[in-house]
Formats: sequence, C-alpha cells, structure tokens
Amino acid sequence: MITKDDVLYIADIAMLKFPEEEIDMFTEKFAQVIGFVDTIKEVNTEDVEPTFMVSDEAGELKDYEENETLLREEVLQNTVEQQYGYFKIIKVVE
Amino acid sequence: MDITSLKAWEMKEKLLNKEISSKDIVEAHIKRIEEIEPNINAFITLNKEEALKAADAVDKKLRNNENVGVLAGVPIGIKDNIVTKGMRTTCASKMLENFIPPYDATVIEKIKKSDGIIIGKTNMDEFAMGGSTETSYFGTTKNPVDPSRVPGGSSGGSAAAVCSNEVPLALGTDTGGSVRQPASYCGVVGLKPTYGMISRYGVVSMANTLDQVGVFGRDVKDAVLMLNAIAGHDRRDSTSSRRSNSGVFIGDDDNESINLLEGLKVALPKEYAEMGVSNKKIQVLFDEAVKVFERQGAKIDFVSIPHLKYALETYYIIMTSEVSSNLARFDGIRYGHRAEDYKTLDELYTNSRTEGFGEEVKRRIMIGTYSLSAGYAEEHYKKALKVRTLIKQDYDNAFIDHDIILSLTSTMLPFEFNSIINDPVEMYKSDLYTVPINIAGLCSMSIPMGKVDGLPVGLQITGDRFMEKNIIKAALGYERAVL
Repeated sequence: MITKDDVLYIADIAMLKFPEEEIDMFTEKFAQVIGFVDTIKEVNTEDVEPTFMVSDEAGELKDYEENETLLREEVLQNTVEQQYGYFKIIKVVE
Repeated sequence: MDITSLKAWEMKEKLLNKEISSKDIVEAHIKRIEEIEPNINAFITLNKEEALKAADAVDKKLRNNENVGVLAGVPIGIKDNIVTKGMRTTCASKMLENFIPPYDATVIEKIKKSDGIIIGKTNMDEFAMGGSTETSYFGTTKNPVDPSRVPGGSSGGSAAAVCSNEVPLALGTDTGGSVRQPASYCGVVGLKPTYGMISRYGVVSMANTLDQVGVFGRDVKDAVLMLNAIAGHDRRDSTSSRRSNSGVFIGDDDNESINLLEGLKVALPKEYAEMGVSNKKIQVLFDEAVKVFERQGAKIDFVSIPHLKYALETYYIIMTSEVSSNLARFDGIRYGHRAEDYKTLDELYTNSRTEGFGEEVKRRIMIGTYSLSAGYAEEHYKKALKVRTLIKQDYDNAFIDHDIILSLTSTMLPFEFNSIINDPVEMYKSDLYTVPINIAGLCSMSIPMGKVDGLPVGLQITGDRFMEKNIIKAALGYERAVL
C-alpha cells in the first residue's frame, strides 16, 4: 500500500514538490495507478528476456571525426543567467 | 479555385504546371489561418514572414528552371515538440515557454531541403502527455468538425490544422497513439511509421523507445508524400534504422486501375472482437469496412494476440519510467523555466521543475520514478520489459501469415471539453487499440471510415516492422473502394 511518506520520498527523488493539501489526493490517485499496473505480476515471464528496444540491429558506433559544434553564444542563449561565457548558478562551495 | 482545399499533391502539380505560384499557396493558407485560428487554436507559434520568404525562394527556383524538392511550395505544420532553429519550440509547456532552439531537427532539415514551407508550430498536450490537447499550457485546440469537442491528442493541433485546411500536411509524434487517435477524431489520415523509420534527432523525447514521428494528410497519397520526404537512416540518431530507405512507398500502386486489396491477407485480433464496443454504431461502421476488404478480394482471418490484455499496464510502466528519466534534463539551468525563489541548488532544481511542469507531467514523472526506484525496479520495470517481449512475439506470430491487422483506431467518438472522462472503462479499452503498436514498434495508420452522429471514426491498419508498403497499399485500396 502506498503511503503519504512513500509519495514524499518519490517526490524528493524526482525533484518535485506538492502542496500539503494535494498530497492526500495524490497518494490516493497514485495508489490506484500502482494497483492497476500491478496486474502484470500475474504474467508468467520465466525464461523470458527483457526487450529494451524493439530494433534487432546492433547499436552503431560512430567513427571519431571532427564535427562542427554549437557556438558558445548559441548554447547560452536560452539560459536565465550567464557570466563570463558560462551558465551562472548560486555559489555552492564556501 | 480555393487553394487551401486542394491536397498537397494537387498543389504541387499546379505549382509545377505554373498554374499557381508558391507565394499564392502560402498567402492563401495564411489568410485561411487568420480567419479560422481564433476559433480553432491549432497553432502555438506562426512563422508567416519566414514562410513567405521560403515561398519566394521556391518561386525563384522555378523561374530559373532549377530542380525543386518533393514538397515544393507545400505549407506544413510542425508539432511543437520538434525543434526548429530560431523558431520557438515549447512542447506546450510553461517549462519551455521561451525556448528558441539553436538547431533544426533532422526532419526539419529534410523538409527544408525538399522545399517544403514551415508555416508554424502546432498545439499539443504538454510534452505529448495526454489524448485531448487539453493539457497544453497554451489553451485547448477545438475539433474543426465540432468545436465543442476535443481534437484528440497529443498531436491535436496538427490534426485540427490539416482538418480545417490551415495546412495540407503536418508532422506529429506518436508514443501510444498520439498521431492515430487525433487523426481518427478529426477525420484525417495519420500514419505512425515503424520505430527507427524516421530520425528522432531534435525531437524532444517523451518515452524514447516508444516515440516515433508521424505524418498527417487529408488523403493517403498526401500522408505518403510527407513520409517519403522525411524517412531514412540518420547517423545522428543511434536508434534510426538502416532499413529505413526513403522514397519507396508508392510505386506502381499509384495506378488507380489496380485492385490493391486483391489477395491481401488481413488479420482481425479476436481479443478485440471479444471485448466489443459499447457504441454499436461504431461497431457497424467497422464491420462494413471489413466487408469492403472482403468484397475486393482480401482474405480475412481471426488471430490471437494473447498478451494484448496486459498491453496497457506494460505501456504505462515503460512509458512513465522513460518519461521520468527523459524529463530529468529540465533543471532550470541551461534552458527552460528557472524559479526566482531558491536558497540552495537543490531548491533551484525542485522549484523550477515544480513551477514549470503541469499536473499530468508531474504525475507521470512520479509514477516512473517509483517504477525505477530501488526495490521496485525489478517487479515493475524489468517485469514490464519481459511482458513487452511476449507482446512483440504475439505480433511476430500474427504477421507470419498475414500482411496487415485491421482494427478500430479508437472505440470512442471525440468527446466534449471538460467532460470528465465519464466512462473510464471505455477509455481504457480505447487505448488498448493504439498502445500495443508502439510496444512492438510496428507501423500503423488511421484512415477515415465514415461518421457516427456526424463525428469521424478511424480505421486502424497495422503492419509488421518496416512493412509500410503493406499498410499503404491497404489504405489506398480501401480509399479507392469507398470513394
């Protein structure tokens, strides 16, 4: 059974926050969904290999070669704060 | 002549015969958009000036007798989760409200190279999560057939734009039915190719092993024109396939005197027949469509897809797991919404994500994070991947003796806005028609097969991986037989 603490724990890993008044409703909905997907436990999957990708082609490696990359200004054009050509965030070390 | 009511291939013919110019085509569509957009809201961002410039460039090429590409002069709508250099790409989310991509997706490069004209970015459910285009941060899109109803989703803007003659062609993306279901609801053709057929480079990932770019047109020939222009292997997408050579989908099939349905081996999943459809009028339409195939000489057979009944659970676990992983990149630092209020780096991440994402997106990230978390990964995520193997095998078996599978695209009619989905069982059954196709990576399309109470209903034609030619043949054959 999913508890309110489970929801808070998952929210913390997912880097999301929910207002106190929404947590109970969310826990209930969450439990419903998890209850629903739990039915696949009844499928017998002994000796069945997992399918991560449907393609049967092996992943390809690219040759190492010089390529054009984005310009520094292009990379920085969508950030909120930048300084000296870098992304700016708050100070994390003293 | 109303240019906007022509098919894309008709526009192209008239352009090449010098009956109309590319500028005429684009201006007619801009006028149509200006008239109807206040009522439909199919677009998030319009690209009028650039579109007119691109049209002038095509006209100049034609004046100089230079070769032009396969999409010459044709206006195209692009779902707003496909990045366009210099043109805002929002994924219909507050998170990317002001995001201007510094590069073009491969499909956009291909459209430009083929002389297609990008007229704007279409509305969608936020990050492609939804089936009604109601979760968009930029307001809902209305179904042009009945504006009190949803256009379907998540590619609802693209379907509505094609339906209402705002554009003849559009791109969408399909993770669990997001091209086929809105095509069904708006009465247009929507084709989701095989996984790996079209490059996903520059397509914002939702669930990367299920996502595939799809195409919309008002007839089968138009959808195929669009598909031919964008299919093909791309070294920048490691999941794109070497089997996806472009330009091979219509050859002799274009000769209208040929009966394309003769001898076609058609399978009907018996699990769908057993489930039934609550709206009997929809069932009647489907039965009639099957009879059309039969009368034209197709061989109809029932097959069993035994693990179909676990498809939705499997889909939800895999999809949400991939969503939680793919959307981890939105951290508020390099691009996207950044909260103003934070004291630590963790707060910057958490507050930016909490403010930037809508409710449905957060719900899916949460479920996915749970499925992947320590202690549950084995019994949820790994288990779902194994059931995926079984579902894929079921379809592999069905295609040993059959060319296509026929089903409904959706068991529901387009519903009214804010009508709380009052029939969850029907909703559940409905998704069971589109979702398994993505799990198995198959190709599939929805084509109009008539109306119930004035609302469009789609026929879903599914083929084996990289057997697009079979579903296109069947769709063209059906279209010719009923028109």
